[in-house]
Amino acid sequence: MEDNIKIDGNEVVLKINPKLYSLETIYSAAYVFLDRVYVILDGDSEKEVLVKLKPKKEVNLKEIAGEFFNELINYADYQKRAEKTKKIREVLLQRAIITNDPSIVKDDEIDKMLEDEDDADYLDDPEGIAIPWEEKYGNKKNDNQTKS
Amino acid sequence: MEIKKMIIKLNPKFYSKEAVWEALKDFENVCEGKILNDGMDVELIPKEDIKNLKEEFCNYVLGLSKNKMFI
Repeated sequence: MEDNIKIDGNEVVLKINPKLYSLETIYSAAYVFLDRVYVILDGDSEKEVLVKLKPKKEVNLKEIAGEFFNELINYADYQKRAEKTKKIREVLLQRAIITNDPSIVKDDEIDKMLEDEDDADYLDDPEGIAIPWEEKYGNKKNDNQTKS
Repeated sequence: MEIKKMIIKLNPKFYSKEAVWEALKDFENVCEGKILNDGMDVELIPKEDIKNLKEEFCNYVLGLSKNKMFI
């Protein structure tokens, strides 16, 4: 890591490999430090990103550099997890929104649901539930009583 | 006390022009400024003596660039 940290006077320059840390990760880490240090990004976004940190107050430059690298790992992990759970978050959000406001469901989806509903008549009785017991199975009780 | 203009060299690979414009607008009470070229050299002319104006401006542009690019 020592090779990636160069202390120059009252500022420190960090060399970051953009293949290891995405640009988004670098920006996010830099954003965290804006209240403590002045940050300048330079270099090549494809080959090597240079992050120049100049503390606003006197601090240990090596320590702040180490903290920056830790923050890079933190955000790299966060982004990887966010990517992995993206789908499930979308589904949960969609479900929550639909529950509160079903009108946002697309019209063609509603049409399809209504179409399915239209096909089904409330008078239809595919299971034969509406048929009286006697009609369906005969009056077995009476038959038995007659026999005995 | 003489107030001198200052030039900031921002790398266009990391800082967006839109963010610089927005920052210049937000800083108009403390300085005047303009983008000098596509290489993103920014000229700032402070209206008063402000400590670390250049660096504060860079931080502000970085924050705006991040928000514009990734949100």
